[in-house]
Amino acid sequence: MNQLETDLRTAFARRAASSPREALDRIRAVDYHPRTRRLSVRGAAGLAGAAAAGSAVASAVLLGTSTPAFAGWSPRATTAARPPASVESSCDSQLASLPGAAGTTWTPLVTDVSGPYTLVAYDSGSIQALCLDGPSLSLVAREAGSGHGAGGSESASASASAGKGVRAGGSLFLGGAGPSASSGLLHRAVVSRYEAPGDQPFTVAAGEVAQGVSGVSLVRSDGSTVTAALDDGWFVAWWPGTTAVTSAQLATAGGTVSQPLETPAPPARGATGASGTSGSSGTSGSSGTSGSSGS
Amino acid sequence: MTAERSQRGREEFDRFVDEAGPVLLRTADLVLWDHAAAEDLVQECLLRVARRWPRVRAMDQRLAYARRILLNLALRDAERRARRRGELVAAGSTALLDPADAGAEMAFAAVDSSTAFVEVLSTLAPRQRAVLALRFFDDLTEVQVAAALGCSVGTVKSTTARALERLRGGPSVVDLARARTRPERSAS
Repeated sequence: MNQLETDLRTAFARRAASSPREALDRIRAVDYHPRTRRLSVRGAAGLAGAAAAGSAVASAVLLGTSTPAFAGWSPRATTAARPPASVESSCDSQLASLPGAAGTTWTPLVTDVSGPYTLVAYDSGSIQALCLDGPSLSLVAREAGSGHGAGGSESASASASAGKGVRAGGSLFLGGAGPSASSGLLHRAVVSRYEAPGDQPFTVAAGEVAQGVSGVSLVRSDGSTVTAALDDGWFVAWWPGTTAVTSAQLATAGGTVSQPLETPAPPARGATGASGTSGSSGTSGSSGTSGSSGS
Repeated sequence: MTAERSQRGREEFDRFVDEAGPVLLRTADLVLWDHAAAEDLVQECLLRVARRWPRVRAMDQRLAYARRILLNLALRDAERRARRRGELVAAGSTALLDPADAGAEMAFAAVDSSTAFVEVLSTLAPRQRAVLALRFFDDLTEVQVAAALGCSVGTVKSTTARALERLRGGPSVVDLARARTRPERSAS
């Protein structure tokens, strides 16, 4: 062994010794075991025909973690051309595990990258799905796939209803809302709320806008905005917490158009039952909630 | 019966985390040269192993399998991390442009040649550090390193040679520091 190799070993050993001891404790403290749940929700997960007012299916792998919740998330996500291979692989396997999804080919529609998290909207040709992947968190949700019009006609998308809270094991699904079917630039939007163990709720929004819309920002009830990833008319966004969306700002060549949205408040925790079937049915999502363009 | 098997699988996985965690963390840190990022990477790696645990638990080389996932993740995201780090350095570079600070920085570097060596080591590409760490710290053979990185033995050899060449040039950093700090001393 020459001097250089000896120096190298010494430098590596010194570096290895400098690793904080608590790091190992934190690594050991994480619960890595996936707790997969297939949750029935109404009108929560589908994009284009969310419509259906039929049930959607979500499979959530929500893992406990000792690290700060959703560290690295940014309200200004970037749109990626396509999901990273590892995320795509993870999402594909989870989508395939959903009931009735075997053999389905999913094509990424739009990919939102926010820090270490990647949210992807997929299309199978007839139904759509969402997949969120990140440290200690993985969730996939798709519409049930029956009874909706392919491509989502306006009348179909208008029938989306609020979801119901479902408690399943350690994971709690707060509920989903299909608030808006509208004419104008915003064709449809679906907002779903989830909660990871450890009181870590998060909200996912997805939808479709008219061609010509070059940017989508979602204005929340606290006045803050979240920039959605947008690709070929499809948009997705997510944020920690359950802050509701009040409007969407749509950038066009002619200026920015604001379109109001209404989403129901998340169901009270007490309303969620251990059986996974309780919760209030939706009250919004009828055509009456359609946002009108401009404001 | 199924519940028992599931419980046993969890216990085995927990034991695996206890055993492999320190090794993976050390490898991640030596490759990324960033404690926090290494910790995140190990967690991400173990999550992936956990998802495939029913298959992984039957393997003879569980650690090698986990290490390969770890290295894939580390090297795949290396470019993104480097870019982010570059942006951070750029954002905070004003202070470093201060001549007084630069002088202090160089003088400090001249104190200990091992510091300069480590500095050069830290500037190697993650793939180069990965090869060196696996070869000269974990004592893997070139064939084992190639398997861990998913590349050929020839690539391992050439990457090792280039990395060592960079390190051989390392001490010049100290000389550079001395050369830069000397005029200031003589001026005072």
